[in-house]
Amino acid sequence: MVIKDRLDSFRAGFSGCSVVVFADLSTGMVLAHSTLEKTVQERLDDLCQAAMTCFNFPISGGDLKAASKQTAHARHAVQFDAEQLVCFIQSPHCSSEALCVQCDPGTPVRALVRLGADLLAQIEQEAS
Amino acid sequence: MHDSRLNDAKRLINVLKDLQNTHKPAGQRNRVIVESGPEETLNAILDQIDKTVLPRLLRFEKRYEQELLLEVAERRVIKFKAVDQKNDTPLDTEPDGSAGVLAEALAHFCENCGELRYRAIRPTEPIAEGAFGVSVMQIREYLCGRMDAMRPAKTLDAAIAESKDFALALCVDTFCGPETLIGQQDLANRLRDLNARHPADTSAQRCTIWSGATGLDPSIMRVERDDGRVWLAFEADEIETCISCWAGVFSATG
Repeated sequence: MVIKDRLDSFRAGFSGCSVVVFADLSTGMVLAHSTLEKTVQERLDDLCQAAMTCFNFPISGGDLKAASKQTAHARHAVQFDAEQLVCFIQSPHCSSEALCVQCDPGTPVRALVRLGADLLAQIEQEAS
Repeated sequence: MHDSRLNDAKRLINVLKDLQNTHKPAGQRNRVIVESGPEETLNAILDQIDKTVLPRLLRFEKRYEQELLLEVAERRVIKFKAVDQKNDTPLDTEPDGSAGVLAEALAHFCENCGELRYRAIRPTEPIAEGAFGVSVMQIREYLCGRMDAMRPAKTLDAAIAESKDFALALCVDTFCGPETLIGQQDLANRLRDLNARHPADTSAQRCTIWSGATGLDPSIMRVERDDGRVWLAFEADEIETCISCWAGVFSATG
């Protein structure tokens, strides 16, 4: 199955999901995408940039856990307001690859993150 | 039964029902269907649209001042005309499949409505070919969205109070004086340190959650509004509760 088909299938699994972008965070490039409606390239690029900003936000492990003094970066991040929610899911094996998923605020985020990580793992497995 | 046949059967039943409805002939007085209230008026109008299968011109009149004419067929508004008899400013629009213009006109018509009079007339001209119109469901969806947009945003105080049920710690910075720390003291102190290290971006009105990093358990969330900034620490399992609580602090209209 090609990446586009996998992204389409993932997007169709969440009723409020309108955009899924598979991005390379090291270059800021959109590698593939699936959208419910026609979406301009600038919007896809914006999602990719937002993911880079989110994952580069340094949160020292020591900020929240006294035991850990290492700087940590989130594996997934969520940005939301009243109208939309964007979930960024970093690949568990290749930190430069991520999914950016735009959906309704009511979307089940935990399921989105779990299935998004599975999807990234499948894409990597097929590519290797 | 095959779906299309089932639809045909349903349609036939509705046509027969509609034929049983005695539409009053032209010339007969309009009958009062609602005594008062904008919501009741709107529901009564939508109800009449939804009952109309065969082409009809539905005429609604309020207080002998305003008149709303809807050309309806198969439960869809094909064309409408709102006339304010005082100002004589007709608005004649064919719905283009988007319910906005019609829904706004309906909402406007229903404002301050007392007695609503109604009459259904057989149209003298056939419905224009290719006219698709707007359904009651589309109108209702549009008006629900408009009401959501008009709903005032939840206050920061209300969201903070709600968050105490699931958050481990909070740091509230209202940009005037020292931060307020709530919950587990050590976590709250660390959230305060994060707030001090990362300058506020008042141009962004949103929430950001970071989760899942090694050594980053619990998840943390930053809420940015022009009247304050809130940092929360919460167990990762509570992420959906947290989103549900805080999405309301932003009005839908931005």
